[in-house]
Amino acid sequence: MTLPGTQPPFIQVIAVLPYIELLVFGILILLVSALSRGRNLRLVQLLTFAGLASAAYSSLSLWGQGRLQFDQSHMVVMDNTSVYVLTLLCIGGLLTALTATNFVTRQEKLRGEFYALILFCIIGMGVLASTLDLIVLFLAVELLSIGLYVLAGFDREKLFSNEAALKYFILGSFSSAFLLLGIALLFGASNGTTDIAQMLSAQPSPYLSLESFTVNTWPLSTVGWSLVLVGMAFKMALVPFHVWTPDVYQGAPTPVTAFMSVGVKAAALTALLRIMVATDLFAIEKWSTMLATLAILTMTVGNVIAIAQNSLKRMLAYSSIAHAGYLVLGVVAGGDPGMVSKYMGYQAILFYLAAYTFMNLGAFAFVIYAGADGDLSLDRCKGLGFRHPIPAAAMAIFMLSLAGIPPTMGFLAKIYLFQSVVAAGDTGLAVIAVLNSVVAVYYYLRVVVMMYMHESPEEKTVTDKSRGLLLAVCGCALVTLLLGIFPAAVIKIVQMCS
Amino acid sequence: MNEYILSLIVFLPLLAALVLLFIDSKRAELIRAVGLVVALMTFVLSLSLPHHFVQGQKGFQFECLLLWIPQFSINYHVGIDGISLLLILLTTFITPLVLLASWTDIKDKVKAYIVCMLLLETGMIGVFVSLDLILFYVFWEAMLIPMYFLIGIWGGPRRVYAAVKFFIYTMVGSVLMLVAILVLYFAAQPEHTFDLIALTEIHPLTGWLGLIAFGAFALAFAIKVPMFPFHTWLPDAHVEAPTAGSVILAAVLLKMGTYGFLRFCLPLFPEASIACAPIISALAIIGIIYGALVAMAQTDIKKLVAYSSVSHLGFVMLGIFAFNMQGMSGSLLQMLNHGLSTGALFLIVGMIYERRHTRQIADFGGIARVVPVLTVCFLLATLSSIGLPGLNGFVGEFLILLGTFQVNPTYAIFATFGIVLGAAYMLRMFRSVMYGPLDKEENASLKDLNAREIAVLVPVILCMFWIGLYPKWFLSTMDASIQEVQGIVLRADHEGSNTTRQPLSGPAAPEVGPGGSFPVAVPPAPETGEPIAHLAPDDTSPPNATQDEGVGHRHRDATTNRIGEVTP
Repeated sequence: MTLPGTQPPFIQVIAVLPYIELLVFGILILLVSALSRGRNLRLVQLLTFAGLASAAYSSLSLWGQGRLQFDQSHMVVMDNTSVYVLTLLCIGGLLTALTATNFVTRQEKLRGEFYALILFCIIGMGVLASTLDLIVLFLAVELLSIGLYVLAGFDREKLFSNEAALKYFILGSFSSAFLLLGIALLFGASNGTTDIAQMLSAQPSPYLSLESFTVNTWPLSTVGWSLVLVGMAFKMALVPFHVWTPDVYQGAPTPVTAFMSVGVKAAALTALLRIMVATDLFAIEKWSTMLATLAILTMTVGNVIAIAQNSLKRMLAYSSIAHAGYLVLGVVAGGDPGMVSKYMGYQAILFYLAAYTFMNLGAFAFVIYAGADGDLSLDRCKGLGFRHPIPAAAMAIFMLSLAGIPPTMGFLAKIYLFQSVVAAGDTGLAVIAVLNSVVAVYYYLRVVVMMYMHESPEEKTVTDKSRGLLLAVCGCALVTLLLGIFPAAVIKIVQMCS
Repeated sequence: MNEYILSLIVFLPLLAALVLLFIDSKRAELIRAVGLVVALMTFVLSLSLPHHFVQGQKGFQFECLLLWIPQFSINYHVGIDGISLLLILLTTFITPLVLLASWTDIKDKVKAYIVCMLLLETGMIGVFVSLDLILFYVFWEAMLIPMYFLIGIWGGPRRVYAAVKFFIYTMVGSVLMLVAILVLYFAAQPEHTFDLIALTEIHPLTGWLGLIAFGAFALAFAIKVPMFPFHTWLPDAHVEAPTAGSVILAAVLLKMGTYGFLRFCLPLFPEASIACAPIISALAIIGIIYGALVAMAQTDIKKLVAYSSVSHLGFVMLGIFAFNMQGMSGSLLQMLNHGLSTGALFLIVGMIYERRHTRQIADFGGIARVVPVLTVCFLLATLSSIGLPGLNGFVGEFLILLGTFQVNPTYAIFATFGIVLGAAYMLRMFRSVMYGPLDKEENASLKDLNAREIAVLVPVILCMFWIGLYPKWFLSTMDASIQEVQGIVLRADHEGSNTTRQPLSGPAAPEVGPGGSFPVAVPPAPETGEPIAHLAPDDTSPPNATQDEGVGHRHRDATTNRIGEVTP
C-alpha cells in the first residue's frame, strides 16, 4: 500500500481489466433487465456471453506476460495461473448460462439478475484466485459467497431453495467470521501486514516477540493460519466442514449447484496454492499432516456417504466433497519441499480443476436434462440409455471420468495428481486415494447401471430440451473424452502456470 | 508399413465402431454384417504378422514409438514378441467367430452390441501390444467398459450384480497396480520412464520395495486370471454373460492376467517373482484342485465350464512359475488351448441354451441321437479340455507338468490330480447331457447345428487338432521370447544366489532335475549387457534343431535353475 501524495500511484489497469469488463457487463445486464422488465431475455443472454467472452479474451491476452500487478502491493496479481483459472471460470460461467435457459425462463421475475449474479460471482472467484493479500482474499470470498447465497435461493417459490439459501448463508457467515478472525491474528502476528508474500519475511511483532519461533511456527500465527484454513475448508467443503454441502447442493437450482461446485472449488484451491507457494507453510510437517488428514477424511467420508444416496444431486454433492479431498492431496504433495513434487502438485491441481469443470458441469447439465422438479432420482434414470442415447452416452462418459477410468480427462487428472503424491514420497496417501476411487466407482457406475441395464415400464421422462443445454452436455462430453486422449496441450499449459 | 500395422490392427475395430454410430440402429442385419466384416478384416490383417514375424529373434518386433504425453514421458509404444503375437492371433481369431455365433442370439440393441464387441477387440489387442506401462493400463481399464456393458445389458437375470462385481474386482487390483507403476516411474534413474523395455533394463525396484510392487502387480493379474482366493467374480460373470461375452471372457480376458505375469511381473520383478513362487504355485495348485472339485458339484453346464477355467488357469500359473522352458512355453500354449477349448465349450453351451433355454444338466439326457453333429463337436471340445493326446490340451498340460516336475515333483503330483478330476467332471457332464435315455419330450425335437453354427465351430476344432498334432509352429514362435523372460529371471536368481545365498547355491545346483545338464559354473553377476546368451542353453542351437523329436523332448536340455528350491 502506498501512501497518497508521496509519489504518483503506479497503476496497471490492464491487470484488472477482465474484472472491470465483467463488472460493466453485469451492470449492463441489470439495467437492460430492469428497463425491459425481464422480458428481453435473449439480449440479456447475449450480454452474458459477450461479457464472459471479452473477460476471457482480455485475460488470455495477458498470458505469458509474467506477473502483472494492479499496483505495487500484491492485492491483485495477474500471472499465468490467474489467467488460466479465470478462463476456466469464464468457461464454467458460459456452460452454466447455457444450461440455465429453461430455468430462468420459468422464473417470473428477476430473470436478468441471474446472469448478473453469475458474472459478479466470477469476479469474486477470479479475484480470490489471483490475490496475495489476506484482506482482498476475504473480500473476494465475501463477494462470491453473497452472490451464491442469492443464487441458491433463486427459485423463490420453492421451500427447498429457500432452505438452501438460508443454510448456506448462516453457515457461510459463520465461516467468514473464522476467516476474518484468522486474518486479524495473522495481521498481529506478522507486525501489521496482510500481504501473504511478506508474511514469511516479516519480523514478528515486537510486542509479542519470542526468540525461538519463526513467523510460521509462532503460536499466534498458528492459530491465525488454522482459522484461515477453516474458512477456506468450509468453502471447499472439506470434512468436517462439509455438512452444509448436500442440503445446499440439493436445494439450490441445479444450474447454480453446478456453477457453485466447480467455481468455488477452483477459486479456493488456487488461493490455497498461492498461500502454499508464497509462505512454504505446508512444508512444515504439522501443516502437511493436518492437510493430509483432512484430505483422507474428506475423500473417505464423501465417497462412502455418496454410496447411500438416491438423489443424483445429493450423490454429486458428496462426490464433489470427495473430489475436494483428492485435490487437497495435490496441495499436500505441492507443499513438500521436494522441487519435483512441488511443481507437479501445483500443475496437477490446475489440470484437475479443468477436468472437473467439464465433467462435473456436464453431469449436472444431464441432471437438468433428464430431471424433474429440480432433481433426478436414480429411479428416474432407468431406461434413459436407449431412449435418449446421446445425452445418456455423455452422462456415462462423465460418470466414468469422475470415477477416473481411462480414456477420459478424469483419469489423467487422477494420474497427474497421484503422480505428484508419489513424487512427494507419500505413497501411502496415494494408496488410500486409489482405494477411495474404487469405492467411488461403485456409485458412479450405478448411474450407468440404471441408465443402461434397467428398463423403465413407462415413459415418464420430462426433459429439458433447450438447445443450449444439449450443446453444453455434448460439448462437455467431447472435451472430457478428447482431452482425455490427447492431454499433452493442456499439460503444457498448466506447466507454464507454475 | 511394418511400423504401423500393429496400430492398424488395434484401431481398426475402434474406427469401425465410430462409423457404426452413424448407421441407423434399425438396420440390424447391416450392422451385424459390418461388425463381422471388420472383425474378419482385423483377423486377416493380423495374419500378416506371423508372415513378417522373424522367429527366434529376441526383443520386440513391429515396434512403433510415438510421443503421446511427452511431459511425463508417456509414449505410444507398441510392439510384439512371440508371446503377444500368439495371443493377438487368438483374439482376432475368436472375435469374428463370436460375432457369427451371436448372429441370432442377440436381437435387442444390436448396434450397441456390435459397438461394444468392436471396442472390446480394440481394448484386448491394445493390452497385448502395449510396451508402455501407462498405455497398457489405459487399455487394461478401458477394456472393462465394453465388457461391463456386454454382461450388464445382454446378460442373464443377475447380470447387473455380475457386471458390477466384475468391474469392481478388476478395479481394486488395477488401481494398486497403478500406484506401483508410478512408484516404478519415480524409482527409474536417471530418467523417469514408463517404458517396459527401459524399465526391464534399469530394473529399478529390488528388495522390499520390489516385493511390494510385485504384490500390487500380482494382485491385479491374479484377480484377472483368476487365482484361487480371487476367483469369485468369475462364475458370476461367466454365468450371467451372454454367450459371446463368456467366450471372450474365457478365451481372451483371463489370458490377460497370465500374460501380465509373463510380460510385466517376471521381467520387472524377477527377484520378487522367485521369492513368491512357492506361494503362487501353492495357490495355483489349490486353484486346480478346488476349481475341479467345485466344478464337479455343479448342476449348471455353464457354471461347470466356468469353474473348470479356474482349474485350467491354475495349470498356466503353475507352469509360468516353474521358470523353465517347458513350464513356461507349456503355459503359453495352454493359454491358447484354454482359449480354444473353453471358448468352444461356451459356444456349444450357448447353442444348446438357444435351443432349450436351460443349462441345467438334469434337463437333458440322451440327446446324442437327436443332434449328432453337435454331439461330435461337444465331444471334441470336451476331450480337448481334459487333455486327450492328439488334441491341444494334452500338449500344454504335459509340458507344464514336465516343467513343474523338474522343479518340484510334489507340485506336479498334486496338479496331476487336477487332470484326473477334470476328466471326471467333464465326462460325467457329457454323459448325462448326451447319453442315457431320451426321457424329456422337449429334447426329442431339438434341431441339430445349422450351417452358421458349424462354420463357427469348425475353425476352432481344426485349431485344436493343429496344436494337438503339430505344435511346432506355435512353440518355435514363442521360443525366443520365452527364453528371454526366463533369462531375466535366471539372471536375477544367480545374482541373488551369488551374493546372498552363496552357501546354498553350491550344493543345490548340481541336483537339477532329470534332464538337467546345466553347468554349475554360471558366470557371476557382472555381465549385465548380454545376460541371456550365457544362461539359456537352447539359445546356442538353432531353434528348429530339436523340435521334430516331439513335444515332450524338445526342451530336454533346458533346465530348471531354481537353485535352493529344488528338492528332487
